[in-house]
Amino acid sequence: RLIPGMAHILNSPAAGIAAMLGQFDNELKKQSPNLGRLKQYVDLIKRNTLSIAVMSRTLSAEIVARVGPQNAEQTELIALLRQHLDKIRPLVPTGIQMRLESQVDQYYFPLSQSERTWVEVVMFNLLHNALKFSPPDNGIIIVDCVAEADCIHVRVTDNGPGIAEDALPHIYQPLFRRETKGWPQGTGMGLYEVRRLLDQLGWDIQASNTQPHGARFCIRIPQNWRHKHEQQKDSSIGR
Amino acid sequence: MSSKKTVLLADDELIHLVSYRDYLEDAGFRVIAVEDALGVEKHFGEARALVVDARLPTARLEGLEVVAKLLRDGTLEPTVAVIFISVHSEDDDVCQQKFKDLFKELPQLKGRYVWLQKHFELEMLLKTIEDELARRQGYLGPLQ
Repeated sequence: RLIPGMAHILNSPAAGIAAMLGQFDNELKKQSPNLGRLKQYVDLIKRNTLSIAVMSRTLSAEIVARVGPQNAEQTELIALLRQHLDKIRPLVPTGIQMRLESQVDQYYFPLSQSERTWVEVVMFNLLHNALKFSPPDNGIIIVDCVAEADCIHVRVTDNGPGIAEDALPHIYQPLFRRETKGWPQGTGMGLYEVRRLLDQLGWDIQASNTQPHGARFCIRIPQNWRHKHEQQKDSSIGR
Repeated sequence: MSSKKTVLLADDELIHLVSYRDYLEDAGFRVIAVEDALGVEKHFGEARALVVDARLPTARLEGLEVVAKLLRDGTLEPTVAVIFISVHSEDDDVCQQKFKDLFKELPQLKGRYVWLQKHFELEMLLKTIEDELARRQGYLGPLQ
């Protein structure tokens, strides 16, 4: 489902950036360039560059997944999340704040190279989604980690319009697009990809709405998830 | 009523909509920019030229289909220029299948439009609109 749509999903933002740069150039050639216009152009270029970055990483995850079994290495979750946020930060429009607020200092768990790539794709897609639905002039996106007795939660929260209650059960279906009046539509592939990769990892995700408005995606990483996940995989193979 | 020629621009991707809108406004057109087929249906009567993303997604109609609907209803004046824009080629499989069905039902759609595949230079968009407006002004008939 992913690959046939890839050309369109990559070509459209690339063509948009090319057109926008052409117009950016035209504006700069004027005696008094309109700064409001230029600011909007930069924001649109950032958003579309992020779309391409998300898709190219998704494609990498598909390729890396075909490499075969790999050794897992101890990985620190908070540092990993900070790295992903830092990669995205230059592409965040100026009116939107994005920050990491973790209640957990460090959390080590084993991840293979493929799994690290999947986590990156999941975070890029969730942050891309949050950016798309954040108010352009006062958007706030918070990534936080909360530890519980048997798991750790990674949450991505935005202050956008939230998700219509009747859409919540469908948001991970391929090609499902949230239709929120006045907000851009997605490709319908991002959250599908998130769900698919988290299933491969054996992690869970829940979406909900926050007050007064906003959406929250909460990833649940169980303690000893690798051990349990591998046992489950073994028992389903043995059946 | 403005003396400027009006272009109705429809694209669901804001980056395309804004770059084409600002460029055409700088070139002296009045531009009505809409993000879906409903906007096309609402404003087409004000425009001398329609520039429509052929795959404009909406709950009801794609860009190609909304123009076909206007032709079917007989509400699209022959003097109005129609330019489809798309990241897809006019020859790709999905478009070909759509055209095959539409041409069968609406032979007048043939030659009624110009297709521009994104990415094109902004100057190319302007030239295409001006050429089509000139051709439509005298209504010379469909392109051969």
